[in-house]
Amino acid sequence: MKYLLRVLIVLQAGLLWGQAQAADREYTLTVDTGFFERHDALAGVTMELHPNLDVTRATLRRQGDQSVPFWFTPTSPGRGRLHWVLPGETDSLTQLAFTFTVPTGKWSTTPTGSAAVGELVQRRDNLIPNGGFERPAAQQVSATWKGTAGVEGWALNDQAWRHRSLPDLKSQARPQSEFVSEGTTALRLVAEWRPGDGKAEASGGVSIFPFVNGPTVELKPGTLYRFSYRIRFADVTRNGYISASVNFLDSERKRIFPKKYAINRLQCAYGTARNLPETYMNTWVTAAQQKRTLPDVRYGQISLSASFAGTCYVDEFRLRKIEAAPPVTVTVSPLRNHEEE
Amino acid sequence: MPERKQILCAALASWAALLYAAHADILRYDMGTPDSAVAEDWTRLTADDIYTEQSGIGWVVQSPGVRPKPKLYARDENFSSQTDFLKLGPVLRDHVIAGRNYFSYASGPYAFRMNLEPGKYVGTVIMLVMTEKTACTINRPPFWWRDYTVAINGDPIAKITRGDIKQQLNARGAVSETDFLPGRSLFERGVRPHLAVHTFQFEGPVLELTMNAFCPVNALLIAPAAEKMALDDAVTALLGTENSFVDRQFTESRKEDVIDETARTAGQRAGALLFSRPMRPLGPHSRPGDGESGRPVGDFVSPGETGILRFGLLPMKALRKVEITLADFRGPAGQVLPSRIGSTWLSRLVPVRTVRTGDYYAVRPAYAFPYAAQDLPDGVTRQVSVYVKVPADAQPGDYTSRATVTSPDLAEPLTLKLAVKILPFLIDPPDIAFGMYWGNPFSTRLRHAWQQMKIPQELMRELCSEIDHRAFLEMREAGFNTVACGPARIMRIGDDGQVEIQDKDWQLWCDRVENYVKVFGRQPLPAYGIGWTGLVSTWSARGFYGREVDKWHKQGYTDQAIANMEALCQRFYAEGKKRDWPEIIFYVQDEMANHGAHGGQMAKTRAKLFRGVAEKVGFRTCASMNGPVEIPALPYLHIAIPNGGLPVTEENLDLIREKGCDLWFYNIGSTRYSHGYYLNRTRPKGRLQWSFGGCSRYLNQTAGLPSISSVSYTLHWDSQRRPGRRENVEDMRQGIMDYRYFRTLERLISEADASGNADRAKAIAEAKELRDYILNGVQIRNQHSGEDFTSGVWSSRTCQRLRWRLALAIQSLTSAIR
Repeated sequence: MKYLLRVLIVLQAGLLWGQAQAADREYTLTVDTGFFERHDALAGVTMELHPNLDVTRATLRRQGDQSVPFWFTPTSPGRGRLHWVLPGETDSLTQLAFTFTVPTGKWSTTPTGSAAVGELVQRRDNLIPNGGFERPAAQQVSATWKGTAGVEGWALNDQAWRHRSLPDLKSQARPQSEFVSEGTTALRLVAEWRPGDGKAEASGGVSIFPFVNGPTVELKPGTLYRFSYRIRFADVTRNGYISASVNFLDSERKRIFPKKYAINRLQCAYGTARNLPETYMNTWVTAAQQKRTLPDVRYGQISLSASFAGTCYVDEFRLRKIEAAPPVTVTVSPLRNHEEE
Repeated sequence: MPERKQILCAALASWAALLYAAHADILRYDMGTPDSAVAEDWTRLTADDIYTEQSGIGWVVQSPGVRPKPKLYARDENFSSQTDFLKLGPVLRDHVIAGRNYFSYASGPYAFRMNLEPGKYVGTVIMLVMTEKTACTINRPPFWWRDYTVAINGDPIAKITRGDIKQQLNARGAVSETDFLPGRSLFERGVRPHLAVHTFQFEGPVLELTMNAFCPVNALLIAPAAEKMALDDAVTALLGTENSFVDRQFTESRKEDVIDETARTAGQRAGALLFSRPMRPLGPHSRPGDGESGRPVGDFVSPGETGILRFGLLPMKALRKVEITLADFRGPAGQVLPSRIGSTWLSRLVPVRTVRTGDYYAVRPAYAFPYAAQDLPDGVTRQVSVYVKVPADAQPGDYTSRATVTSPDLAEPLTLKLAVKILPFLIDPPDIAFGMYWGNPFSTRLRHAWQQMKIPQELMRELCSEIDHRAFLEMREAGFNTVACGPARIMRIGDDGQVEIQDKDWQLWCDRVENYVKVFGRQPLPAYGIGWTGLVSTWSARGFYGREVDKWHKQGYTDQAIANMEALCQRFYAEGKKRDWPEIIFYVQDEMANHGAHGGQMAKTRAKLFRGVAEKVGFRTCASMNGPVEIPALPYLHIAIPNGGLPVTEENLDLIREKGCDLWFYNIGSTRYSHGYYLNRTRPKGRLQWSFGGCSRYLNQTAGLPSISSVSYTLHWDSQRRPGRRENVEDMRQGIMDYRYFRTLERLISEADASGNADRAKAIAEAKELRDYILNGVQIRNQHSGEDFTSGVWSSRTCQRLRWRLALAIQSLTSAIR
């Protein structure tokens, strides 16, 4: 009997302990669409939580509705950024209430939640995977590339195929860590100019430059995109351009060649002759351009080439959809804590 | 699908005709320039191919009795390198013609001659010209307007009578009354109506083709009489090729709605569907979604104002003689407002370019005319608007009516409930100037006719006056209370140094002001153009440059030029005073920033000079400004009219006011938002927008061929010379109404006394909260283009929902005050 009582006490204590552990905190999140209608809008808010909460077991619910997928990115203990999607059409001048419930437990230091939402968050910030060259990858040495380490999603070429047999080639496209705009890796581009050594070029000189093919990303037709990257010149022996493009592709991933050439890509060039050296020498500068896609555009492939001579570094390639409206606003109501009730 | 079949059949027929014609003995001559493309199997003939005994073929430049000797020109109409400019095929793109630039056409005919073997022949001459390029403008060619004769060996084979000017305007209006249905040919819509194909028979050994100097000759085909059928087939093949050449250049970009299945079933049974989708345009591919079919349509309206009820009519089969009628509007206590307070309008479908530099167009409802019974094709949704003009003395309450659609092809009439809530309060009239720019009818709609048809001045005055008056009435109906329009070359300094009034243009201007007063009363009139072409220009005051920035930069203004400018201004305002005109605001300049830094310097100089004259003579000056280089002109302007290019920022708006200028806006978007809530936040004294009717686009009456015509700035007229209602003007109408609702609420707030009455205090507090909510939502820097979002422009739907909140707040405040 004593034993049974002891067991019951232990069980009761365990139950109480479990209840205490299960005690969670609720936050009411109010989304305001403001003055704009929304389509599949991504809502986001920075949450001031508590370090003893377990966001991996958190739930997000629309009032009186089923669970809503979310993505939580912790930024520091007890703090993080919560994202979720308002599916379909949401009218303007509308407020929607959600409840975010987080049980107590161990604070997670890694992002958690719906991977699909996470991908949307990532795509909203940047459609280009590995746009900062942070993830390395193996790349085979070839006739046009003599490096040792490549970059995931990017095909590096030190020079064009037609220049591969020229002697003493200096042009290069290499990941490096000495100069970075963000993270730990950026790309170094070395380009050279050879007077009178040209074969195809009629000018009597030849520009030997690296070119890089980047990832192919999904795009939507009739949508405005902003394409940007960071650039830093270390030396310029001949003025020219760094030119990065998003080449527009159709549903079969073929280049689109409309009659007007300029609209088949989103080109973003940075010219050394067009800018004062102090704006780009040994300092990072942003090159950016935006364009609306044509109705038959479904994909875009990133490419990069150069026509200057010298050395530069590029980093933070970003491509993002420009929204027609500012983000929805989200307010978090005062904390309601079950333990305190 | 049937249209695709038609196109396929036409293509096959063209191909078969081509095959047959290719083997017949046909001579084909492609007239044009030496370097433009020539179709295969065609022989090029240029303006330099002169007939001689030796050549035996060519243009006759020394015909006896033809004086002066015609000067021939070969012109290629594919002159523009812009993708968005229409390109014609190899035969139609170029022609030979005996003159250019309106005034250099020979008065007599010109001729083409060729020697042949004796015998009987058949032939076809093809004539097409799409543009008349004059200086920097591209206009309608004389060939479109003037009567002409084509003769073969002295015998007329075609005598074309274009009709008088009114008939011509009506005929062009009839074009605007036709729809461009999805899948139709752009060539047939925009090019074919201007193409003349004349077939004839003659007897050899000589062919002499004679026609008026302004007649273009693009192609000539000759065949033995026995090959008549082959010749006809060759012409058919040619037009088929040219047709596909044009149509291939553009693709329709369409987005089709998914129809609600219940609605589809019901529609197939009934033969058509009526549906509504509040505050959304209904295009040809719109389809009723869940709950939209049969959904009543409504609006809330103050007494004395106009409500707009829009619905979609989707025929599920071809319907003949479709009529739409309205029932009386019945109120809550049995009040009846007659059905005639409503008028039904049908939006016309137009192909509109969707991507500015691209090769795509969308078929959209672009402008509306009053509905008249007509056939409607199946599968194409039509947007119907019912304008309900609520009498000023109407009792408030919920009124209902119905629209009834009948057709011999409908077993039962279709009905849709219409609901109008008449509000128990009036809204304030606008307290600022609302206007659109308006071209001189003489310079657009009539100028080309006048130049070619020698229209008598009295008829010209009648037509200009009619156009002005009808357009002004339509502007007023849409809520505008002024017009930005000016005179054209009404005075100049004569050789004796005195001001000379140019009688004809002066009469037109006086008529215009008279019409303005009739419609808008004594509201100030911003006289667009008066400062650089209309009154003061190098034409009227030698050396007083208007937009000739380079000349001004090199030479400046001489004292004499300045004195002449002043004399013209003094005389103009003296004449206005004599005639008791309303205030004419002197429009000094327009977008001088387009001319760079020198343009900015010139803007300041001109503003200063005109300000000096304005102080002496007694008038106000204004200028439209679209770049920071124009900011130094601010201290010298009474009214600064910036657009987004200045740019419009809080800092610049403060600066404008600091410099003592009244703020107006122009061209910050032909949207509801920028005519309504945006102005409530920025509080200008005027708002102008380009343009109620185009000034310089030459194909203003050719609705919407995407490559070459303007839709957004075009005022379309019907075959009775009545103006249509353009979609974006309707947006502006709603914006002005939003503005008025907001101002009404503001006035009530400022007048209300909250003390001693809790209900009133609550109503005032709620009204203030709403006011602040709206004002705080407006971003001053509109048309924002940045990293995060493209525009701060609220949709019509958002604006309407806010208007409803305003209406509730006004009602609540009015009740509380009472």
